[in-house]
Amino acid sequence: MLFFKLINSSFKRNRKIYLPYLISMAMLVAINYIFKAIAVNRSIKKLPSGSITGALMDTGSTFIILVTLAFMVYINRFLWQQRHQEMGLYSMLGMTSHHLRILMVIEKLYLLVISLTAGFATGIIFDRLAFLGFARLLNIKHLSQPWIEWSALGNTCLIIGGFFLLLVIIDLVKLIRLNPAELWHPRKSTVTKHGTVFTVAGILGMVAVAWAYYLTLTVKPRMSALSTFMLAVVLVVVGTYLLFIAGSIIVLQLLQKNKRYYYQPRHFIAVSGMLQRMEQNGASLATICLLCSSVLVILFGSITLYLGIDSTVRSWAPREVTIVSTAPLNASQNKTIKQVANEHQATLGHQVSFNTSTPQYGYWQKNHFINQGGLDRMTNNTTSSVIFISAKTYQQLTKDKVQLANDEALFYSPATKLTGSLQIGNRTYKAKQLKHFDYYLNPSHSIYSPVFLVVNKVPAKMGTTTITTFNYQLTGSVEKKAQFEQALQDKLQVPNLGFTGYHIVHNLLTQLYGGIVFVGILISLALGITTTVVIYFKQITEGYEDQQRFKTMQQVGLSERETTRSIHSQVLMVFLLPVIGAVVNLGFAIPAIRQIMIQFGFYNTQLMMTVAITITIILLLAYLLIYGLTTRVYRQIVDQA
Amino acid sequence: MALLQLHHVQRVFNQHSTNPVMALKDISFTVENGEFVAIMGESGAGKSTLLNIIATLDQATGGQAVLNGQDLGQLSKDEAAKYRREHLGFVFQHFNLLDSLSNRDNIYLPLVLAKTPVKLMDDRLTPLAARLRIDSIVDRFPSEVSGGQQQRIAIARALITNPDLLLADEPTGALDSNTSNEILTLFDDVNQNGQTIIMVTHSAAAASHAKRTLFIKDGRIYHELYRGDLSAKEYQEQINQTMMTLTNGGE
Repeated sequence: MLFFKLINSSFKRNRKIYLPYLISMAMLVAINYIFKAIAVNRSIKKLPSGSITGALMDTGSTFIILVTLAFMVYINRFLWQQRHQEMGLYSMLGMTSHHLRILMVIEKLYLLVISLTAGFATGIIFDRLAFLGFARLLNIKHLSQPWIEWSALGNTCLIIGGFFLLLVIIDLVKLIRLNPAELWHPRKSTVTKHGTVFTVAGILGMVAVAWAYYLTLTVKPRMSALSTFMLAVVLVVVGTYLLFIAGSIIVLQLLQKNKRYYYQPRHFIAVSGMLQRMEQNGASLATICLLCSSVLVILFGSITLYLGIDSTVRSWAPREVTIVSTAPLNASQNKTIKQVANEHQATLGHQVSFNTSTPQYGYWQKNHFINQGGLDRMTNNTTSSVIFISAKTYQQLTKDKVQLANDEALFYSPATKLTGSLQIGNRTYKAKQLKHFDYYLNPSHSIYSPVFLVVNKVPAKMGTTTITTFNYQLTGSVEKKAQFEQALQDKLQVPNLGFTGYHIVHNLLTQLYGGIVFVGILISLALGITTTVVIYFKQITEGYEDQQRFKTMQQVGLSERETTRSIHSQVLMVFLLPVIGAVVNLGFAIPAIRQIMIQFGFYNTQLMMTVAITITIILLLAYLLIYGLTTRVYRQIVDQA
Repeated sequence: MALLQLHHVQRVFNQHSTNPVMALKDISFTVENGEFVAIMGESGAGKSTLLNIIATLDQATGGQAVLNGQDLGQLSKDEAAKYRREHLGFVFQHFNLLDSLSNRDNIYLPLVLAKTPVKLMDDRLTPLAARLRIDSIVDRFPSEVSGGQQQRIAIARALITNPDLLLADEPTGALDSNTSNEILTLFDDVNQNGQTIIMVTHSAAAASHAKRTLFIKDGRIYHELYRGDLSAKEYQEQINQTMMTLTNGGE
C-alpha cells in the first residue's frame, strides 16, 4: 500500500531523528512500567513501610508521566517542523487532506506500537534488575515479583496510548491550518527588537535567582524550611528562564557595543552567533539547565538522605534500646525487660540511666536562646532545643571530672554553630564546647536538633526526663533483633516517642529512604534521557541552520579549519552554559539541603560534599559524552553543505 | 595586462568511476584589468563549475587557471580561503548574507576576518555606502530590508576589500526587473571605476551590461560577443540571437 511505502521511506530518510526518538520513548515507557509494576507489587504491600512505598511510587510515577508528556509534545513539535514540508509536498502532488490525515494517523500508530513493544520488552527485563536493586536498597530479602505485572502493563498502555491520541489531535489541527503554498518559501528569520520590557525581564530574572540563592543560604532548620526551599525552587525556575532568554542577550549586546572586542575574528562570529542562538534557544537552554539541576538536586538529596540513615538513627537511639520517660524505670518494668530478653535469647548489656531537664524548645539569636518551653509551645520560629544535664550526671556518665561554677557550662552542639558565652532565657553561661558526647540524642525525634548543656545546677521548673539506654547481644538476623525490640516496646507499653529500638528505626528508615533513592534514581534517569534527546535534537536543528552559514563564511574567505573551530567553540559554549548553571544551582541548593538534613540528624558535611562532587563529575562526564556524540551528527549535517 | 588567464581548463567529476562527467572540456580565455565579462549558457553548460574554479572553491582537473600571476591550482584549501579573502569579491543570486549579523557587520565580515582595525573599516565603508546608496540601511538586519537592498549590501561586502576581481553568480536571479536594472547599473558604475567583473547569468538583459559576453555550451566556449559601439538594446538583441542558436544546437 502506498501509505506504508511513504511512511517507511520517510522513516528511513529521517533515521537520525526517529531512531533516538524511539529509543528514548522505549526507555520512558519502560520507566513508567517499572514504577507501576513496583507500586502494585504484592510482597511490598505487605511490608510495614508498604503504604509509604506505594505512595512514593505513585508520586514518582505521576512525575514521570508528566515528564513523558512534556517530552512527547516537545518532540512532536520538532517532528512537525521537520515533516511539514514533506506533508506540503504530498498535498501539492494531489493528496487530499483526507489522505494526509490517514497518513498521519498511521504514522502515529506505527510510532505507538514500536514505542510500546520496545518499551515493554525493555521494561520487563529491567524491571527484574530494578526490583533487585530496590530490594537491596531497602535491605529486604524476601521480596518476590511475577515476570509481568499485567495491570501495570495495561495501565502504561492506556497512558501512552492516550498521549499519542493527544498528539494525533494536535497534528490534525495543524494539518487543517497547513497551507501548502507557504511551504515553497523557506521561512525567513526575523530580527526581534528588544525594548525596555526585555531589560526589565533580564533584571527580574537576576533578582529572582539572587533572591532564591539568598533564601537557600539563610534557610534555618525549622518547620518552614521545606516550604522556603520550594519557594526558592520556583524562583530559580522563573529566574533561569528569564536569565537565559533575556539576561544572556543583554550581556551579549553589551559585548557587541564594545567595538574593539567585538570586531575580532573570534569574538565576531561567536558573539553574533550566540546572540542569534540565545534568541532562538534561550528557552530550551533554560530547560536543559533546569533538567540538569533537578537531576543533581534529586540525586544529591536522596543519596545523602540514604547515607545519613546511620547518623539519623544514632541521634534517635545512642544505644540499641533507648527509653525516654518521666521517671526512672521501676522494678516491674526492669523485670519485663529481662523476661522478654530471655524469651528472645538476648543478652542484655550494661544499662545506663540518667536524668536531664525536659527539652526546652526555642530558637537561637546568635548566642542567645529564646526559650519557648515545651514542644506544644513551638512556633514557626522554632529551630532548636536545649537539654540541661547537671555536672554530676555528666561526670557519672563520662567518668570525666568536671568542676563548674554557677555561671559556667559545657555544651555539645553538632547542628548549630555556637561560640563564647551562651544566654539561655535570662541566664548567661561562660560556655566551652565539648568535642564529643556519647549519649547525644534527640529524644523527641523532632526536627529541632538539641544542644546539650552541662551546668552545675539544672534550672528549676523545667521538669525532669529520664533516659534509659542499653545495648544487647542477640545472634540472628536484623529482623530477629527488630522483633525483639518490638516485643519489648509492646510489653513495656510505652508510646512510640518514649521507646526507640535501633533496628526497628533503622529498618523503617532504610525502607523509606531506600524508596526515595530508588524513585530519585529512576526520575533522574528519565530526566537524563529527556535532556539527552533535547540536546540531540537541538544539535540537529542547529546543524541544518549552520549549513548555509558555513558555506557563506567559506566563500567569503574563512578557511574550513577556522570555520569548524569557531562554530565548534561557539556550540560548546552554548552547551556548557546550562550545565554550568546547573552546577551553580546545586552549589546554592546544598546549604538549604544541609539544613533540611540537619533536621534529620545528619551532620556529616564532608560526606555531603563528597556526594555532591561525585554526582557533579558524573553529570559533567555524561554531558560531555552526549555532547561529543551529538556533535558528530552535527558535523555530518554541516559537512553536507 | 591580463588579470585572469585560463589555459585549456578541464573539470571532470567522478574521474575514476565508470562514467565520469566532463563538466568543462577545454576552456581558454583571458580577462584584462578593468573588464566586465558576462558568461552565458544554459543550465548544465558548466557556468557554475567555471566560476567555482575561478573563485578557488573548486580546482581544475586539467589545464591551468592563473589569476594575477597566482596559479589557482597550486593553492591548498586554507591558502585558497586566505586568497579569496584578500583578492576576490563575491555576489550571489541569493545574496548569502548572514542573518545573525547586521548589514554593517555583514559588510565588515571579510575585513574582520583579515583583522582590520575598526577605524579603517569605518573609513572604507563611508564612501562605499554613499556610492551604493545604503547609508540608511547599514544598521538594520538583512531580514528587515528588501531583496534589492540585500544585494546592495552583498555588493558592498564584496567591494570593501578592494578585490582584484568581482565574481557575480546570477546577481539578479532573485530580483524583479526594476531592481535588477538598478543592480546592473550599479555594476556598470562600479566597473567604470576600474573594477574588473565576471558575471555568470541566464539573462540577456543582464549580460547586455557587460562589455564582452562568453557563451558556454557542453563545457566549451561556443562563442564570444563584444559590445563595441552597439547600443544596449542592439547588443541585447545580438545576445538573444546567439542564445537562440546555442539552444537550437546550431553550429
